[in-house]
This record gives sequence, C-alpha cells and structure tokens, in this order.
Amino acid sequence: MIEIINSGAITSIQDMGRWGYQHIGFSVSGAMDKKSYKLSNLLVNNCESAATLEFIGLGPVIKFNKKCLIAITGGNFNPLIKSSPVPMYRPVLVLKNSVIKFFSPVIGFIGYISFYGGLDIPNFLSSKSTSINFGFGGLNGRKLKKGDKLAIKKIQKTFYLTKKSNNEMNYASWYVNEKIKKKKVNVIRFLPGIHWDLLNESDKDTFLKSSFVITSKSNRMAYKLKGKKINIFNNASFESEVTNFGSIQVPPDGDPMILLSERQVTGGFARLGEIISSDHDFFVQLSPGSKINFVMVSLDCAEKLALSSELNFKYISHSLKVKEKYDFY
Amino acid sequence: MVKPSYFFDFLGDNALLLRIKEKNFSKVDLIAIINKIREDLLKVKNQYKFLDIIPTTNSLVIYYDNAYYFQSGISKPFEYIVRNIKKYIVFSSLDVKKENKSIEIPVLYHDFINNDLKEISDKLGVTIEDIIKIHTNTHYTVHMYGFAPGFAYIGDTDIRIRIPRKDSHLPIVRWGSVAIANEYTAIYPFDMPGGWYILGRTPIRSIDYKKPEKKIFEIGMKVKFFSINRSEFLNY
Repeated sequence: MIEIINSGAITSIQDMGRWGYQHIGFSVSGAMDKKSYKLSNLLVNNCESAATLEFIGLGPVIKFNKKCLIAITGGNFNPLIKSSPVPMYRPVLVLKNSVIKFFSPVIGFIGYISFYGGLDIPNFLSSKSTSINFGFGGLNGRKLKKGDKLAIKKIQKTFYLTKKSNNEMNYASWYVNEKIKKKKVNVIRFLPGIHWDLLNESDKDTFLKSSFVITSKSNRMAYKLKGKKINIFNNASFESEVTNFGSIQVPPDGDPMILLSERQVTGGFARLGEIISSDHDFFVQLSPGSKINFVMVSLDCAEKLALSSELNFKYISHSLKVKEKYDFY
Repeated sequence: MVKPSYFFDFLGDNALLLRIKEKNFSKVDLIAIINKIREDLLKVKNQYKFLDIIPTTNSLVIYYDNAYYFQSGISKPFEYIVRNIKKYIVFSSLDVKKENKSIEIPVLYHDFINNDLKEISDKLGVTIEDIIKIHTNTHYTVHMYGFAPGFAYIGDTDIRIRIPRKDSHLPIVRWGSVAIANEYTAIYPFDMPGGWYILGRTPIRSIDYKKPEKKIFEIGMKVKFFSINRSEFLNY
C-alpha cells in the first residue's frame, strides 16, 4: 500500500492507454512519455505496460506503508527520502514507512514512478489509464489527491539489492543511461498533415522559419504554443477528422496546439502536420517556456527514425532482462 | 451501387488514412461505404496488429503498432500495410440491401431543465413550436462517433434550424440533453462540458460505460425524435 501525502499538480495512474474504443469516442489516454513510462516498469521487472504513476509539472509526496521496489524515470523532480536523493533510472528498494518527496522538475516536465508488482486497480475497458477530462479509468476517473491509498500487487519473488545503500534505501550500482537532457535547440520533426497544402508557399515558409514557445496552458490533452499566429484558417470550417498523438492543430485563434494523450478522437480544426513518433517523448518533456522549431521530414525518414528508436529500446529492454536473470535481485 | 475506389494517405507514422476517390456519393452512402470497408478490415485487425479502426463521415483511420512491424523485419510499415490490405477490402455486403435499424427517441422539449429554445428562436427567427416541429419531423442518420465517449453525430438537421456552436462552453451539460450544432443533432452521453444549443432532454441513456458495445446508436442507423410531456418523462 502507498499513500498520497501530497498530490502535486497532475498526478494520475497511467499505462499504455485504452485502445480499441476510439470508434465509439473513447480517447486513448495513457502515459505521455511512453519510453520513460515503459523503462520505469522494466527497471523493476514489471511487464512494460503495467500501471504506474505519472506526475506533471509538480511532483507528489508518497508514503510507503511497506517495503517496496521502485524505479523513477522521466523528468528530474529532485526526489528525496528524508534528505537523501533517490537515484533515478535504477531499481531502488525503499523501506517501510519511507516518504518520498518530489519537487518541481529541474529537467523535463513529466515523471514516472513504478512499483514492483504494479498498481492493483481494476481495468476499465482493458486499461488502468486515467482519462481525467472525461472522468473514467484509474482511481475513480480522476487525478490523485491527498489521502488516496493505492494497493500494490503482491509479488511472489523476494528481492534484495545489496549493491549500494544508505540509511534510507538500497539501490542498484548500475543504471540505464537514458536521462532526459536539455538541448540548446529543440527541433521537432513532423510529417505534413491533412491541411498542410492549404497553406501557400510563403505561409509554409513562415511556419517553418518561426519559433514557437510552449505555454503554461499545457496539459495531458494538448500543449498550447505561442508564436507567429497562423490566421489563414480563421473562418474556414472543416469536417471532423480523426486526430493523432502529436497532431499540430490550428484553432481559430491562430495559435497552434499539439494534441496529446487525452485528445478527443476527432477534431474539426485545421491540421498542419503530425509530429513523428520518435519525437513524441522528447516533445512532451519540454516544459512551458521552451522554444521549439518545426522541421518537416518525409515518411521514409520518420519510419527510419522510429525503427532506430525501437531498436534502441529493444536493446535496453534486453539488457535489463539479462541483468534480471543474473544479478538483478 | 458502383464499387467505389479509394486511396491511402498517412496520418503521422503510426496511422493511415483511407479516403474514397469519388466525390459524387451522397453523405449517407459515403458513410455506408466507409463503414463497410471498416467491417472488412476488422476481420484482419488482430492479424495486422491494428490498434483501432475509426470511421468518420469521409475517411477511415487505421492506427497500427509500428514496433510490431519493425520486430517482424518490416522497415516500412505504411507501404507494407497499404500493399497488403487491399485484398481484404471487398465491400462484402455493399450490394446486400441491409434492413437499416431505426430508433425513436423521446424528448421533453419544454419546461423541465434549462434549454436554449428561446435563444435559438431569437437567433434564427423561428418560433419555439416550429423548432420542435422541425426537429421531430426530420429523418436522421447516425453519421459517426467523436468528440466524447459515446457522443454520436446524428444528421442532417433541417437547414432552418442550423446554428453554429455557442461561443463559450457550459461547464456541465446534463446527460440526455438533446442538442444541435451546424448540421448535427446529438444526445449528451453523460454530464460533461458542452457548447451545443440544447433543445430538451431524453430519459434514455445512450451508452453504458461499463458495456460500451451496448450503445443505442449504430453508425448508419435511422433516427427520429418525438415529443413527450413532463409526466411521461418522469415515468419513462
């Protein structure tokens, strides 16, 4: 059992999302940064799609009512147990009655904490993911609040980590080198979208040459951008079309927004492009105030980059499985 | 019906978009065609690891798991899927005249909850009585789902009661609220924010979240609304 002492800003139960129901209007939801989310699970020997906690913008404070093996990935929220920093991207064994505190992120914007065994809550339409906007899934369809208690699935296998320890915790001497890094220039690559060709050459040029800033009006549904306004769609009306994670949508106010996990299944605004899947995780970790530039790529390029991300992830997950077999616990 | 031709486009690098080439189909026929293609492709959904197959009024979107294709040694999933799925699109039931299911929805248009009849009447210059008459006399078809879970777009509304969405959203629209916006009418499936103009309320729940497949509206279904009074509503 874990207890939420302080909920942070947007802390919710997430997994790979609720697939198979979009045709009747259910948004997919699910973890925003899929790679960090899956890694957090693999680090504690869960299947990669187990339910974890996701926190955005400001981290929670969590009390462990029993000994627990955890892993923390994603943005760096300076996690502490008492005054000891909790190392990230590795399995950590925390003691009974420990309290872990997360703060504001110094790098990245979204964090994940996984628990060996996974969170023990029922599936809703084959997923444990919380859809905060529509109020279903997760814990009573809402973000977590102070006092919430969550059970962790019982596990048969005992574990011990003797590699490194301090008074508050034991942790593995190794870690996965996938920490989120700040970049000087945030280039976001995209494929042309269904309305891209409605722009004339000079509008296209302007879009590709301008920088946009991620605003604080950003949540699990969409990140709102600010930059040079795109006004040519102001009075246009479009038929509702299916959206995707990373859709670059231009509502009538002319400021683009990027649709994310809790996007609506269909949308009737102009769609300039689709951020390529290998840039999704990087994009969602950019905090409000970050400046981005869009670069258009071909489908061939997007698929090559997706393949290379997939190979990289497979390599890490395979290495973790080998570790687990020989000296993980 | 003539067999339509179609083409594919990409929607990012993990979804593909299928559109019908011909422009001369009626809206209702186009919806029928798109949903028949969907039926054909559902048969191979698991085989091809399609995550979702979603119809709208003018396209079909297939989400696929590109990691699965990469693991199977296919480095260009889009091209592979396009090349391989054409053989499954046979419009198997296109010429079989299916008895279209129909449903009648009771609506309390008056004096029970807040509605926007007065505002619509003022804006469009149509009397409240006429708005109700027009809304109940029209034969509708379920076009698509979208916007929110269980939210079905039902159309087309009569040209005389077409009104754009409100400029601002109400924080909570009650479930069962029957509303209109542009060429569509809809029933709010649960309490949620909304910006459509509300005509009245139905006592019928359009979807049960625990069993979403048991929804009352199927795409292509014929819909009519009829007026009920307050006591009929309460005793429904």
